Amino acid sequence: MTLEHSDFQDLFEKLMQVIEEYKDNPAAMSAISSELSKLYKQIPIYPGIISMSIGDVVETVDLDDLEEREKLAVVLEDNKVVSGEFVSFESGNLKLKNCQLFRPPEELEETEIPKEDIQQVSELKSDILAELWPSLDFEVEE
Amino acid sequence: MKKMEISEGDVLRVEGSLVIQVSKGEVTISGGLHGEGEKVEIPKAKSLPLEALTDAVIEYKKEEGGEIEHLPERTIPPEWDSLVEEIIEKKPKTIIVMGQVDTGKTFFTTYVANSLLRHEMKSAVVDTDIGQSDVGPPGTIGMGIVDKPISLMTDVQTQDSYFVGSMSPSGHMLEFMVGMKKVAERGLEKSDLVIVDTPGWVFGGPGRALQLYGAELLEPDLVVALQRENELEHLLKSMPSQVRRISVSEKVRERSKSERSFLRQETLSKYFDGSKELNLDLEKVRLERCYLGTGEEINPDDLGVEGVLHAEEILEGLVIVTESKLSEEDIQALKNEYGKIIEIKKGSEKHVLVSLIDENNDLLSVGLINEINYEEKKLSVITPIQNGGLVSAIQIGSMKIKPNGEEIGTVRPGSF
Repeated sequence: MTLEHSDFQDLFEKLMQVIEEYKDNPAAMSAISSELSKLYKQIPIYPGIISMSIGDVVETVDLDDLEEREKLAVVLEDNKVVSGEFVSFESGNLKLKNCQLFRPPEELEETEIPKEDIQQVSELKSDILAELWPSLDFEVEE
Repeated sequence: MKKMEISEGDVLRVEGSLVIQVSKGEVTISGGLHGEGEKVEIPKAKSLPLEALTDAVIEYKKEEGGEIEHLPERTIPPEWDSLVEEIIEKKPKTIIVMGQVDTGKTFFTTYVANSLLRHEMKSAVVDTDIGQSDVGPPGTIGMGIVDKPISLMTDVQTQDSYFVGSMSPSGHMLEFMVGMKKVAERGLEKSDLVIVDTPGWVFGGPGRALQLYGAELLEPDLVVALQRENELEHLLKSMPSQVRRISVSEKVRERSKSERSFLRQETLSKYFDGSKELNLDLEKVRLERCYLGTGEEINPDDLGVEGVLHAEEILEGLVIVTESKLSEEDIQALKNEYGKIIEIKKGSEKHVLVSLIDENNDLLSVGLINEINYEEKKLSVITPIQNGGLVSAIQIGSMKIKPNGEEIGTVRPGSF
């Protein structure tokens, strides 16, 4: 069987594509995640339609075409991201309300964290199949 | 050979490697009757019950790991024999044997088929354990007729098999259901009844669906549920057929993931041992279960991108075979023109598990693709069969396996 038995295959691939595309835009990722959850609750039996719809959750728009838009994510020149509701675009200034500011991650060579500042520590694993299903840990050609 | 006298009713455990010859009297091994002069070979590491039906003399020769010992009592639960009597009396046509993994379904099926044969009832057995097929090649659902006593299910000669293309029904439900129904029907044509040994996947949505729709499709007259406690009750509540609950023998041993993986490799390696390369002409042999070969061929030079060896337009878009992965820009340009793009990198077909099908749509064997030469339209496959003239079609599977039986990868659905 190399024919797909359902559209879940397409959905997986679409999700991997949008994650890659918007990995540096937390506002877009948040919108995609909440819309994905909503779509799945609405039509869990139609993964193909979810797959076709999810790519349109984030749409790039021209600055001259903002009037009809409600919520925006703006990537700034310094890679910070601001999201918020559109108010106006006048005299070369974009005005938003109810905003959130996302800063890009900062690279640190090393750091020391006082114990009292720590809420939770998680291990980030990168080879989970080798740990759980070693017989299926196949090498994959990129 | 050493000689041993046994009395009627004696029970022995015989473990391979061992050769046994009955010199006098009658015994059963796995329920199969063996009389004077008959010889039985028990393979290494297989442990089976031998029961004396009369006073008997057996001769035996132990080889590596071989053992033979008296047991204080029968190991076959009496309810198995009651069930056999019920089958003889009611003559069901289709029996499903259901149970989780490692509940002894295959031995139970062997015992029942052998016992029925002693009453002149010929059973077809359907083996749905596609990862470690006892009947038929690996990756297939197999069917054989028990028309002579067997010690193990592997002793049954394969009469028919259907290619599922993987080592598990997961993601292959359609092939699995079609295969199970087809081989069970064919089995019934050649026997008095068919016994279907079903997969051990009984939990979760897909497991429940597999069991329940499978049972609905087969319309069994009897469902035999082998369970340790009540792990099948969730399925049995929805079964309209007559159900017989049988407890799992304490002798049944659970296997680990790594042991299963090792056994799969051993089965595959044994199957491909001695296989050779067979060259097939893709102008004469069709490809099945894939996008490749289903479209209208177009000249790769007309696509406007470099490095395309083969191209065909399909309803969904375009299938292309490339020397190396195309750039994002080239793919986007092709998408704009054709829609969906299925890009197959040349060489990615190596080791893909396939089946070889004859003109009657019957399975000849399974094989492993060595290479597809797209320019010359030739496909070479490693397979035990050597007469390429019989092959009408190649069905593409979902696993990548080396001829030594090592599983090295999977094929992404829709990528071929």
